[in-house]
Amino acid sequence: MRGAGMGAALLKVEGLKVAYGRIEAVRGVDLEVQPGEFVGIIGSNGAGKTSALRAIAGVVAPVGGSITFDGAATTGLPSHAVVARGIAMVPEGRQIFADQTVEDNLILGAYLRIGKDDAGVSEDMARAFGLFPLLKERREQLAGSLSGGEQQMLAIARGLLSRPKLLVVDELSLGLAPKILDLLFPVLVELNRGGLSILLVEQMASYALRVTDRTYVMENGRILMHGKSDTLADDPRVLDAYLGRRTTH
Amino acid sequence: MKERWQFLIILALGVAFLVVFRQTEPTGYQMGLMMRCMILMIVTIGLNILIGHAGLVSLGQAALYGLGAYVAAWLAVKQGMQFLPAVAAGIIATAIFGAILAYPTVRVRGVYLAVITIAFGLVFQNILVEWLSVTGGTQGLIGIPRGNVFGISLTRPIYFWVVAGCLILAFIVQYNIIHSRYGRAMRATAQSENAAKALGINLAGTRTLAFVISAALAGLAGGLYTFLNLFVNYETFTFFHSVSFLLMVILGGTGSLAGPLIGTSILVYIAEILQDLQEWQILAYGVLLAVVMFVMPRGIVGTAGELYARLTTKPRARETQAWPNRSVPLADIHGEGTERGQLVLKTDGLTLRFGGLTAVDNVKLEVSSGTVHALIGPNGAGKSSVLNLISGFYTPTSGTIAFFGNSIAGHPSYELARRGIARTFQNTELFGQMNVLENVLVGFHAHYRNTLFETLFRLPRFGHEERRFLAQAHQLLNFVGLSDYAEEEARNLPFGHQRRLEIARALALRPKLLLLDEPAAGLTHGEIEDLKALIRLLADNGVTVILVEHHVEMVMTVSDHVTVLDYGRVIASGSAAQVQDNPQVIEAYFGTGGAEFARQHAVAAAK
Amino acid sequence: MGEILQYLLTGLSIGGIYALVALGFYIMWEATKAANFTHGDVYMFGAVVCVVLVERGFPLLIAAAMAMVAAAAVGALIERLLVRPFNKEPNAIGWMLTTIAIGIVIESTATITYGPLGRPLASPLAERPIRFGGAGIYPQELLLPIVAILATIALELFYRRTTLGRAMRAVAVNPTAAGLMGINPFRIAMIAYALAAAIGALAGILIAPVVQATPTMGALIGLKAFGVAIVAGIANARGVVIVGICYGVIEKFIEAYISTGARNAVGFTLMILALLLFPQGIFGRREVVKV
Repeated sequence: MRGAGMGAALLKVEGLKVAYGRIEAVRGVDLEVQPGEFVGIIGSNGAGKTSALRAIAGVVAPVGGSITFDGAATTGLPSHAVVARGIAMVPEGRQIFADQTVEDNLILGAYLRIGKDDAGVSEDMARAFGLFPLLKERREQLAGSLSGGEQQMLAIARGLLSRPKLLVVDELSLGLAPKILDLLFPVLVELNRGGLSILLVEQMASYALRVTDRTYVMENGRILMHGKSDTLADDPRVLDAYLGRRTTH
Repeated sequence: MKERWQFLIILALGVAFLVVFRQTEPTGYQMGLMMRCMILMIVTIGLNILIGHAGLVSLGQAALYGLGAYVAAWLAVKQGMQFLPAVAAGIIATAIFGAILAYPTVRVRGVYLAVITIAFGLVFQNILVEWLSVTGGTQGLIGIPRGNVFGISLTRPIYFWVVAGCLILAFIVQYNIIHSRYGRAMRATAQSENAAKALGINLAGTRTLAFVISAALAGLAGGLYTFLNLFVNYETFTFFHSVSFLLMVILGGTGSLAGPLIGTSILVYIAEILQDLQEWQILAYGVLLAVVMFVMPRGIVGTAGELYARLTTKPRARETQAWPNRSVPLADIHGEGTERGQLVLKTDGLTLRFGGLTAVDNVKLEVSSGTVHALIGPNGAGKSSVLNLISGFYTPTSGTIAFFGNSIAGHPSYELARRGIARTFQNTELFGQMNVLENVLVGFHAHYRNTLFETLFRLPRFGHEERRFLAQAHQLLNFVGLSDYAEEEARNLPFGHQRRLEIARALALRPKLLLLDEPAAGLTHGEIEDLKALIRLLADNGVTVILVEHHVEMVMTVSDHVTVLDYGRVIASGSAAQVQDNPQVIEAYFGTGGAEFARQHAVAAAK
Repeated sequence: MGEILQYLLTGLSIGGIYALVALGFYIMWEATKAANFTHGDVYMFGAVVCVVLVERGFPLLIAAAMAMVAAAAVGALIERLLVRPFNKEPNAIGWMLTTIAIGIVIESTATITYGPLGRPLASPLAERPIRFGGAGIYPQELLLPIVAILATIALELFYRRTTLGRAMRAVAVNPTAAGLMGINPFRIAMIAYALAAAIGALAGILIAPVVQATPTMGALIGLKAFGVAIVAGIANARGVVIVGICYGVIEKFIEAYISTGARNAVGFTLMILALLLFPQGIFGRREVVKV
């Protein structure tokens, strides 16, 4: 049955397994995102967070498990089909199209809607420029000439242009200075308050724990623990997992 | 060795076939056909080495064949040269052209070499037709005197055995090259450029060698053709012929010993049958090429071999042994270690900028001998870039790197490998289609002293070295617990075993400095413990180790010294304990508030 | 003076052919880092099919359009069946061989069915040469460089202003990110090959009235055009077209001042030298490979 009713998760992932050749990056992960939630996945590098996200977005095909989005199975669908279902991914490292202008990048974000909902696309572009006035100033500039932070803004805005039901963000903080992060994370919070469900993979646990409702902690391809973000923020095991300390409990 | 038996059997069968053929008293025409077929086999054997082992494509072999033919013909007709020197000159001319064409182009994409060989072929044909005074134009060179060796005139019946002898020689050369460090180096460059460089193999040199060998064989074939046909003209050496040589190699089975022999025979036979139907012959070739690519990409010999292997080999349970195997004397494996207290590596102001991004910013490192030095930091901090700078894969924008006091910044990776810097890669770069033992043998490439000449003629030193390094390779496999897997293809190994193999291969270099790039990624907890033991064992025996790792727990327990990078800069450097409590480090990993968080918990824990 | 003008004009015309065919290689390479190695046979296919259709009674322009559509279909099929399954490895052997195979099949099928002899194609622009300054040239011949330049401008506009064009550039630069936009990289690849084939066929159709359509007209042109594309660096449409037109002119002057026969030898030698000097091509960008 389509549509998310009360209690029906928007995104449900069960037993997810992702492997690259012989490397098992994700070894059986269960997670879910309820409509309107802001969920985080944290963990040290190599934990499998990005691999899990890439499987959800269709960039890699999982070797096991299932992914259900908005009531329909999306396991193994290629990324261009997953976008059509309503998941937009802001990829790790931004991956904007450096040889095209800011505006072109946004148009590409709306690729599937051009010719079908041009009015909606213009609306969304205006809204994106409203969220990120810096981008509006630079709309005719080549995306490759933007700074790291501006590129991240562009990547987020581009993701929004497909009017997704779920925004999946991979490592927002990668290579960005804390000042920029202090600008960007609140934008995500605002978008979430406006009704957009967000799944965020983040290396910087402190940021993730501060902005999300619930968080999953991954290690070695599995979920180590999960729960409400503010509860986890007080749990010393989280920090120890990052710094390789084994505290006596 | 299984391969040597195959080689001897094919050789014996071939000679037997030829003897029987002569017994049937063939007509002059049939003998001529057989000789032409044998001559083409010499060309395709050379092409087989180039494609099947070095992984390069040439669409101009017909031109090289023609060059050998014309040089020999011109010298014979216009200069009255005898058979032996004329053919030798043909071989030398083609070898030189091969080197000129290959050396500059093998550094870029394979397609470029292919296009240059096509261009060369077309230029050659054009010259043949136009340069009347030398090449005789469209008529070609006629009236080539029958070959004469030490007074014996090479009439057909005798010449038959001369050609057969050359084919046998070519077949032996093929085997001798393939099963030697040169062949292994060629396969290595085709399967993983990065790993080959990191093991001291000069890519351009190896590829050029392969091309020159294939050219020389084509030149030999050309010279033989001249003295068979007694006239040469441009129609024998067209682009279409280059394509058919390619088809012969692929149909037979690229890379196999008998492949070129079988492929050439079949196509010469088809050409004979379809002699009067030129256009149908060309169409048949096109269709055959397409069919082979889709249905039998490994060719006849390759596909037959696969079927045979599938039917006969019983899956054997292989035993994985514990590693590191402390009963293996390390001194044998990696030679003398470095004395304690020496400064193995020092970088100063090391900076790397790509476009607008500063990946490495003013990094200072000092690594002492026999220590384990770890480089950690969040994703994107520049750790792998530092490793790539040290191993010669990247050139620094500024700053210095000194290895035992000598500057190595910007030196090519294969040279640094030969100086004693070995490395592993984040995505294990094994030579997937080579077996485990061969992978390790490639690691010894830089230590071999025997020359190409000794290899080709299997002189004693070749045998000594092969046996010695084979024994050492087995020792290394024993050390990492993979002895039972020696014959297994590297790409079939489970992941943890692939990592072990990569380390064994790196150790074959007998490095003074070993760079490990995320060796623990993807390993199970037990494997990580073993890895830690191995690293400590190496360090205690004088090998210096620099480790890039995300697995912070592992790093903290195995390292003597830890350097933390963030945004390309060093933010902390010291012992594991010092670094773990450094608030900047905590911030870098955990984000703002991390230090505060840590302090709160230290306070809470103390209560 | 009249002579030089003559060589220049004829050279521009031939250069136009090289430019158009090389443009096709550029489009295919940008989309897939591979190409139809025997794209020259698509050029021939366009000419031959157009001639056959005109002989069957179709008006010239309709026949030309139909031939271009047929060529586009062939191009798309080549991408789908012969390039995509064989483009998995970084070395080029797979797709080179399969496309060489199809080229051989197309060419020999044409020789067997259409016959080895050239057949004429009537065109109003190939009836009377225009003369000036002591040189004469059919307007049909001048169409080629003009169409080449127009095609480049149209292509650049397409890439810059249309959604599909932007999508194709996105796929060329970062296929993974393009997929995240909802762009299907496989469909884009097929479209690129179809477009390249249509342009190649157009070149064949444009020159057929001047030189007649024969099954062997494409092979050498294709190889030269591929060489031109690589020498230019396959980096941008403009570079490829400039090198193509220049090569045509240079070739003509070699023909005039050295000899007709020498033109391929000298021309290709120049190409080899250019590649040795500029291993990435004259306008090419260095590919940075992440270790």
